[in-house]
Parts: sequence; C-alpha cells; structure tokens
Amino acid sequence: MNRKSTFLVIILSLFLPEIVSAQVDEIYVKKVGVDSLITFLKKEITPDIYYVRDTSDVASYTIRTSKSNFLEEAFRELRFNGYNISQYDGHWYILKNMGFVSELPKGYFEDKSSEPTDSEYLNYLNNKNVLVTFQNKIYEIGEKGAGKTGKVFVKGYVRDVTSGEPITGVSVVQEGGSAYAQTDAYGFYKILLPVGEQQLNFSGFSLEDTKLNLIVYDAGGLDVVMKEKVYALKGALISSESSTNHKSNKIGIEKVRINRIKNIPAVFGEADVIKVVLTLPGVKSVGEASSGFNVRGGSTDQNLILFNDGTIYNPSHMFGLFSAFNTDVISDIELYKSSIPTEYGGRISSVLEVKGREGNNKKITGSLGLGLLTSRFHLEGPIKEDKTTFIVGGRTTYSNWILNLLPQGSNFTNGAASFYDMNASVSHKFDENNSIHAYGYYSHDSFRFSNDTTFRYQNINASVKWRSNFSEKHSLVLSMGFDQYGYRVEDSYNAASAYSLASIIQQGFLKLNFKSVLNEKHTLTYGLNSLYYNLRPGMYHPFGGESLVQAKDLATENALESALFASDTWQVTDKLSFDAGIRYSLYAALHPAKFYGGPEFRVSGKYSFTDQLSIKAGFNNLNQYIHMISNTTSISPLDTWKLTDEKVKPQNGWQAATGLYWTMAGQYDVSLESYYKKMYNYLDYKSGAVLSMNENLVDDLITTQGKAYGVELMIKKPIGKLNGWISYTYSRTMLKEMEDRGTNTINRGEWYNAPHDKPHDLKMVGNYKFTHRYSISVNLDYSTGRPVTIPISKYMYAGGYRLFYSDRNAYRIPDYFRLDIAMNIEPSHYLKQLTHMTVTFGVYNVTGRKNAYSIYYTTNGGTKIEGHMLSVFATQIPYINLNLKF
Amino acid sequence: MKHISYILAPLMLLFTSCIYPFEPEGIKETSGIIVIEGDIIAGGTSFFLISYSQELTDITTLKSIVHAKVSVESSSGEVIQGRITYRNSQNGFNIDTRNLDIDQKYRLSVLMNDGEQYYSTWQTVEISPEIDSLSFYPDETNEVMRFYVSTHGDDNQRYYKWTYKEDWEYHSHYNSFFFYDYATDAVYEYPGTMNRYYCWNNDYSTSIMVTNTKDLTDNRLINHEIYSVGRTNNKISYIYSVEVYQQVISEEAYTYWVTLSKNSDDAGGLFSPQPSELRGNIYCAGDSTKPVLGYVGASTVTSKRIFVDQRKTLFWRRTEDCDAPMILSSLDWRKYYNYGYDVVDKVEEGMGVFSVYWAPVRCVDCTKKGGTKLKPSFWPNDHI
Repeated sequence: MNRKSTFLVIILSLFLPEIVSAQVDEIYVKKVGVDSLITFLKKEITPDIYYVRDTSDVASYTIRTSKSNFLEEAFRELRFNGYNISQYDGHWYILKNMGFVSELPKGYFEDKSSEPTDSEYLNYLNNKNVLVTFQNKIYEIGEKGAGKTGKVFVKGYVRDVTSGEPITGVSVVQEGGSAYAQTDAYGFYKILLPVGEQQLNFSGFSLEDTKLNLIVYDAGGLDVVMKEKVYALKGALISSESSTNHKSNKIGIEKVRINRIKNIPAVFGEADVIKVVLTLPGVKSVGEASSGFNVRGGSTDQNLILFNDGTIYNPSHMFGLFSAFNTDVISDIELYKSSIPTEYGGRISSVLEVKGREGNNKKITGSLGLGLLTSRFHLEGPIKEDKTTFIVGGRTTYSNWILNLLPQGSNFTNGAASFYDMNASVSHKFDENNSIHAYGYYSHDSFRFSNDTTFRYQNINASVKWRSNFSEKHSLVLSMGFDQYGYRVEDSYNAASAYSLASIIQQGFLKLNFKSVLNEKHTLTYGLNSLYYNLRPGMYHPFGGESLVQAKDLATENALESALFASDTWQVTDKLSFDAGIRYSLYAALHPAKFYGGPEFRVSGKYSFTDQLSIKAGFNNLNQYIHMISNTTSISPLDTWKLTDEKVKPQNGWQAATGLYWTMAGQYDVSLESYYKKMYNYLDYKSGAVLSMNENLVDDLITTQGKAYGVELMIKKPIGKLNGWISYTYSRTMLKEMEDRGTNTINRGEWYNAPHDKPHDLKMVGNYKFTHRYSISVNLDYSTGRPVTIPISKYMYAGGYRLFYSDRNAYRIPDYFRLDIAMNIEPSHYLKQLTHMTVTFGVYNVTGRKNAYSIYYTTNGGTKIEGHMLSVFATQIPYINLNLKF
Repeated sequence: MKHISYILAPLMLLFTSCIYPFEPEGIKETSGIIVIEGDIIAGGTSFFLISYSQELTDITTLKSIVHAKVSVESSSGEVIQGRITYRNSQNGFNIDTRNLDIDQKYRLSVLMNDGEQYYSTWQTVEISPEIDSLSFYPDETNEVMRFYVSTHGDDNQRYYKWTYKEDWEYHSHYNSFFFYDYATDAVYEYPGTMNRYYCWNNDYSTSIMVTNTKDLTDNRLINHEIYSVGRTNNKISYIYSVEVYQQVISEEAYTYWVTLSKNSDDAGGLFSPQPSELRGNIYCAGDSTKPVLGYVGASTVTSKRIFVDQRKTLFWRRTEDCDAPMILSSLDWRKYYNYGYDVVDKVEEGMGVFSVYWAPVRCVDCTKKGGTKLKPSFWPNDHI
C-alpha cells in the first residue's frame, strides 16, 4: 500500500487493433494492440516480461521479422511508442513513458523470490529514486507538428496508483513560471502552459514532489498516477502543502487528509473528524465531549459544515463523544477560517468541507473496524471498471453495556444509548469530461433513560452532482440535494402530561458553479446557489391516551436564500496575485414576506518574495440568515433553529486578516496569521426565556455583537519520518449586548468574555514513523480555561440557600491540558495477503490530568456553599482499535 | 433541557469521571445585598423576611433585619404597617392583609434604617383555586414517598406555586418508663403519662415548587408531583402530615421562580443554561441600579392537609440500629450517663433486687432527634 513512486501515462489518439499471425521462422504481427503484443511476446519469445497494463494506449503495432529478431524489433516499436524497457535480473520490464533504472542498490532484492509478481514489481519501481528518473525523461504533449505558439491548456487527472481514486489538492506548478493549478475533488487539474520545453511540478500532502520534463506542442492531456508515500527517502525534497500556502491567494485555509486524521489519537480510538478540526489553530471548543466548535471567535452555529455538498446540522453522535462522519469514506477535510470562497455563504464564521471518497475503480475492497464502543465497515469498488464506482459505509455502537454497568436504582438501568450512520455514493464517468456523482447519508441517535423518556435525532442528506469540462476553457459543477435534521422526545412519566416534542429542519438546494480560465492571468469562478428552507421549529403533541397535553405546532417557517457570485483569480505578476470576489446574497422570508440581502466581498492578495516566502492579506464579510436557538454553552441536540424573519435580523460579520508564510529548509512550513473580526446580531436570551415551544420567542430574544482578534503561529512538518504540526494561538473573543435594556442589560451593556474565549492555546500533533509498519502519534492540547459565570454570594430564600451570580463569564475554570499517545501498527507489506490488519492502541489523557468539564455548587453542612468541578476523562483512558482491510 | 444532563450523567460515569473542589482564582465574593422574601397574602397574614446576602463560605446562620419599617400599600393610598414577629426561627414582619380589596393593586414598601426606601412593583391580587386533592404514593423502585397535588382553575390561573408545612410524630426506639436522675444517682419511674417516647417535629418546604398549565387543553393538574420524602426519612416513621399551600402567581413571577430554581439547581454544566440575570420586582427608590433580591407577589392562598400513617403504608424503613440494652451495675451509672446512655427499663429480679437496662440516649429519648413534646392541636391521636 505504501509505495513511493509516480508513474505516468500520456493519452494518445485512438487506433483499432487487429489480428496476429505467425509463420515458420518469420513472425508477422499486424495491427495488434499493446496488450496482445505483449501477451504474444510472453507466450512465444520469453515469459520473463513484466508489464503494467495501460488501457490508455491504443496504438497498434505491426511487426514482421524473424523470430530471433522479433523481441528486439518489438522493443524498438514499443520504445518508439513511448515505452521504456529495462532489464533486471533476467526479467524485462516494460513501462509506458517512464524510465526504469537499473542502478538499484546492490543486493536490494536479493531475498526476494526469483519470480517477481506484479505487486513486487510495483514495489521494485517504488523503491528507486524517482527524482532522477523523471528528470531524465521527457514527455511530449500534443502533435509535434502542431505549429502552435503562445499558451495552451494541459489537463488531466491525478489518481492513486492502486485504487484509481482521484487525489485532491495536488499542486501543479510550472517551474520558474507563474502557471499554477490544483486538482479538484475529482483529481482534475487544468493548467495553462507556454508552448515549448519546461518542467512541471506535482506535489501534494503525503506525496513526493514529482518534477516532469515536458515538451508542449499543443493542448493535451497528462494523467498522472501518484502514490502515497510513508516517509521520505534520502534526497527527495518535499514541499507539498507549502506550495498551497505559497501559491493560493487565500488566507486561513487548513486541509487535513484522512490518513492524518486516522493517526491522531482520539478517545476510544475512533478516528474523529471534528476532533481533528479542534487540533487546528484558531479552532476551539467549550469542552471535551461536546459537539460543535468555534472558529476564530465565532459561535458554534456560525460554521457551515458540508459533507459532499449537504449541510450537516448536527455533526455529532452521543452528544459530542463521537463525530457523525465515518472516516472510512472520507478523503479529506478542508476548513476555511478566513478567506471563504465566494461559492460558499450563509454562515459568518467558517466553512468546514468534509469530502467523501470515490470508490476504488479497479477492484472491490473494503474494511472493517472494531473499537471498544463502536465498529464500522466500508466496501467500495467498481460497478463497471474505470467507469462506475461505488462506496458504502456504516457505523454502529454497542455502548448499551455502559448503562448496564450503572448501579441499580440509579434510574438509568433501563436506559439505552445507540447510534448508527450510513453512507453510500456512486460515481459514474461518462467520458473524460463528464461525470455524475450521487451521495446519500443517514445518521441516527437514540437514547432512552428509564422506561418513560426516549430521545432521538437524525440527519438525512442526499445529493446528486454533475461535473463537466464542457469546453477547453470552461467547466461546470451542478449539484442539487436535500438535507434534513430533526429530533423527537417522548416523555410518558406522568400519563396526564405525557408528550412528544419534535423539531425538524429541511432544505433543498441547488448549486451551479462555473470555472473559466480566461487567460494566463485570469481565472473566473461564478455561479449561483439557491436554498429553500422548510423549518418546523416545534411540534408538541399528547403522548398516549390519557394525556391532557394540548397539541401545539409552532408555525412553519419557510424561506428562500439565493446568491449570485463571481470571483477572479488574477495573477498580476509572478509575485503578486489577487482573488477578488463578490457574492450577492438575497434572502426572502415567506409568510409574511420580508427581504434581506446585500453584497459580500471576498478579497485577498498575495505577494511572494520567493517561492519559499510570501505574505497575504484579505478581507471578507458574510451574512447569515439562520440562527441556532440554544441557551446552553455547548451544542445540544435539542437546539432548534430560527430563520430570519421580519423581526429577527440576519447575523453579519466581517473579518480582516494577514498572513506570513515561510518554508524553512524545504521542510518546515511556518505560518503566522492574524485577524480582526466583528459580528453583529448574534442571538442571546432574556432572563427566564423559554426557548422550546414558544410562539413568542422573538420577545425573549436579545441581540449581541462580538469582536474577536488573534494571532496564530503554526509550524508544520508535513512529511518525513517525523511529521505533524505545532501551533500557538493568542486570541480574544468578547461579546456585548446591542440594545440597552436598563438594569436587565447583560453586564450593564459592557463587553464580556464569550463562553469560548480562551486566550492562550497550544496544540501539537506529531507522528513518528519508525518503519513502514510502526509509528507513534502524539497529540497535545493546552488552553486557557473557559470563562464561567459563578455565584459570588448566597442568600436564604424560599426555605433554602440561593445563589447570586457574578457578571457574565467573569471567572474561568482551570486551564486545560491533555496529552494522548497512540501506537499504530500498519499491515505487513505482503501485498498478496488477502486482508491487512491495522492495530492502533493508545492512551487518551496520558498524564491523567483532571480537566474540568463542568462546575457546580453544593451546600455543604447546611450553610457553606462549595464549588465543584466535574472531570469527565479524569484518568488515562486506554483503547485498542482493530482495522481490517480487504 | 434537563434531559441532556441526565443523559450525559451515566455516560460520564463510565469515563471514570471525578469530582473535585473548584475555587476560581481572584474570586471577589459579595455580601450585603438586600434580600426581601414574602408574598402579600390576601385574606390572611402576610409575612416578610428581610436579610442580607452572605459570602459563600460564611457559615454563620442568617441574621434577619428588624430595623426597618415594612408596610403594604394599596393603589388607593391605604397603608398597612407590619410589626416584628418571630416565626420559623426568624424575626420577620407580620402584616394583617385579611381585608384587602381584590380590585386594587398592592405593593410592599420597606424603609431601611439607613433611609433607603425599597418598593416592589404594583401587584394585582391573584385568586387561587381550591386544591382538589392531595395524594401520596410509595414508590418502591426509587425508594421515595411521592406527594401529588390535583387542582383545576379557570383560564386566567395558569401558573401555580406551592409551599408546605409538614408535621410528623416519631418515636424513640425504646419506650422507657424510667429515667436516671444525676443529682441523686438514682432511677425513677415517670409520673403519669410523662414520657420521652412520643415526639413531634415540623418543617417548612425548602425547594421551589412551581408549574404551569398553559400548554394543557384544560387548566387541570392531575396528580402533579410536588415533592418526595426518602424511604428512610424519620418523617414518615409513624404519622406524617402535610399542609400544602397553593397560590396562583403571575407569569412574571413564574419566570422569576423558575429562573431562581434553575440558577440554584443546575448551573455550570455544559448543557445547563447560562445563569440568568435574576431581577426580581423590588427596587431601591434612590438608586435603581442597586441590586435587590426577591419577588413580592399578591394572591389568595388555599390549602389542604393529608396524613400518612406508617401503620397502613408499611413503607418506612428503619436504618438506625439500637443494640440490645445492657445491664449496668449502679456503680457505673454516672459514668455511662456521662457517656451518653440512659435508662431503658428497670426490672425487678425478685427479693427487691433490680436490674437496670441502659442504652444510648438517642434510643431512649426522642427529643434528642430534633423534635419536641409539643403536639400539634390537629393531631389525630390521644397520647402525649
């Protein structure tokens, strides 16, 4: 699985293959395809030929010569058609468009069997020095006699060598020039190159830099097959993600690939997307085992979480213990903290894009994971090879045993907690330029404590996406889908007041994105989004026959949120470039009709002093038309949503940010970003506000404004035996009520700390690979304790001691610190083995620090009120996780 | 929502959660905020208690303030002065509000010794419906005796508040007819019906009991649980009686009480609401920003009483053990008396020889457990 090579295929024009004929002493092969030719060679001349099948080669071969000369003649023809033929240890290796070195270290393969298999052959290739190989090879694009001048497009796909899956986020850079492209979610790239000789660099996280020598005659295709690597070989230079930092104009983007996610220790060993997001600088949460996260001072409802284009309203299972994403079907996550691309809108803090994987297009594979509380499986493969693939995944929990461990009489012995989630997606490629993708996602949580109260919530998402490169310079992505989140509580404790309470939000969306490469200086992105909301905020109904509960449904809320957007990536000079975009969002609340809207500007610019050093600055503003109604510090599954209407104004905010990016010694990426941010119309609640089933909710709302600023320093070593990142953030987030309500105004209308204001924050994620098989991962998290409101006085009232509270969030719980260590044992590298087992075992909270989860006060000895902290994971939590791949 | 914390609680238990003290840095505790407690009770006597808030760690008992002029004022200008009264072990103010005109609005006025004048907002008198029934249910599963109220009202009476006073009779473990006299170092028989066996005690509600019926089709509460008593609690060991007082309150008052209850009970958790600003309806006339704690409502009060008899429920479970009494030689009496023992019985062994049985005084003298020999007038039995 972990080979480190890159080989390459150039797409040629089509020919039709024909028959083979052989005569005594003379062999005549007429118009055969390369496959037939090699089969023939193996059968008639020598069996010691190894060849990687290349379906893109449609050239035909005609050879007529004596049997003794046939091999030589065939090789000559093959070389003519772009094959490299090398001999090693008595075997012939035939590879398209790729040199093959014979200068391997002496004895490198001595203990291998004398009859290499295909897999071993691949291993063989992977262990040579690719840099040298590629620098020695020249690839021709276009017909030699095309006679073109100026610039032409070179495009193609970058795929994984074994699974055929597209690899996203690979930077394609013209060496010494300004042309730059990045592969999209389908592994597709398109780059404008000048006619003539040049070098093209391919680099991506976990992939070795690949430098290709090209002679470009005309527009053409260049598909690149890359291989993920485990660790860098000597001499291989790695720039990978830094090229993104140095080439993209955008600020505040974090991307994490799935293999990284899986290496980060998590509680109970279940790899967790949201927990990984929390290891990134500028991202905070109010506490462990809480769902939701805060990006650069934003609140938890200001993050747009997209999973294959669908909005996930509740990204967690079991109230935040696990995140709702099955890591087996995810390729990577991308978090936009500052420069939010114009195609996204509707949330004012960040966009978290969770990208699903496409199925393996070569063969059926899958995996099975077993953990202490959860298990998961996935299966993927081609339905029609190279055309149609599928991937399905599922997870479930068997955590009920937790509840059974609880003491009798604790009221929970009849409890049950469970969740599951399912993913399915199908991709079909019509041709090189058109593909369609369908996604489905369903997650379900249910909890029952005692026999009389049950509680359920679920996410449903379904979408279809069509992608087309409909002309040389233009491409489009059209997607539409449906998202839903809902919960339902049934309480039958008292028959007369038994009720069910439910809330549901549904949305249908349409997204149309165009991309046009106008010329070498300008790339235009434009399109439209439309989103229709159907929100039933509360349905309160009698439950059971004896219930006196009066059925009550809060009025359904509907709205249409649309936006038109356009942005231009403008390469002013080699060193200076800009992204300038505008998004005009228009929101229409229906019954009663009320319109809001406005332009949102997304501007960022970059100046590169060198390839290794650049600075950026950016500004953007955003509008948000949907609000979460929640009075708790953390996201709770019972939170409902509220659409902007005639009384509730949209939230809006702006952020200005700057960044400095420096790649040190070719392997350390240092980034320093700073930001200042303002937010308006964030909802808070009056004292005693009733949030559930309140038809006059508007009267209980108050609006607050927020300001946030901070500096984020991050040093990242993306690859190598030792890899990972360390980041330090200093940031503040303050809130203030916008209206003056006299003595009821929170903190008398002064600024107060937001619940997630944690000024100092140090995070480290590290991974050290001893060998291919053994690696150790470390995760460290330190932050200032979160602010809390605490009682500062007590008084006797209504027969008991009551508490008088401090100003809002005036005090803090103790600082948070946690260290996790995990050991990963990867499968053996005998690739012929049917299954591969990965074992991860680790310890969460190695130091056993008792981090405060919540605080509360009790009366001790009648009159003394004492504060207590509850620590959830107050000790070391060991875990083991088994992963079976087949 | 309360559910969440309930749900998380068991999950958290598994994760070897633990609890330890919390003392935030730089805490500035506050004391001396004026607290005014009480309601204007139309058709009865109103009782108001004025005190100061204390520091959290202050372990001295509450001292109420008596240096103040307390009165109830009507919107037509009538003023009813209060007078200092001792009630429920506190000095407060009684105000005769038997003859209020329910068409008027009323407010509380407090003039402190330092000249600061405090007022409550004007209150409409709420009319409370009768309690239809009180009931109880011995919950074997959860080992508590649950108490329920049923009532119904008209459409304007959607918010309810209850308080109660409970009385109970309990007995010492041994019924002793003798007592030890320290001065004479001798054991005597009680004269007449005198005993240390039967005791009575009482208490007032300490929790906040409010509910509403605004989401119910009918303004009717059927067996609405208001409180419970643990199975091993001495209160239900023999005869227990509770008188529940029912008041209809305004929506504003309801919000106050619910918030007060939430702020006290479940603050600080991740799924707990942020503690809310808790503004009552009392303000300082000279400085409206000065915090004053408390809410003064105005309503009539209805009440109902029930008795719970252990001889019928057989629910109470004894947890305290008293060893078999031991015979002590008269030489040891004084010493054991000083150790906290007292006489259980004096038995003639014949020939004028007596054995005196001793046990710890808590097993012999019921007044050692907080009660008194003061039997309530309404008590349904004859012994004293």
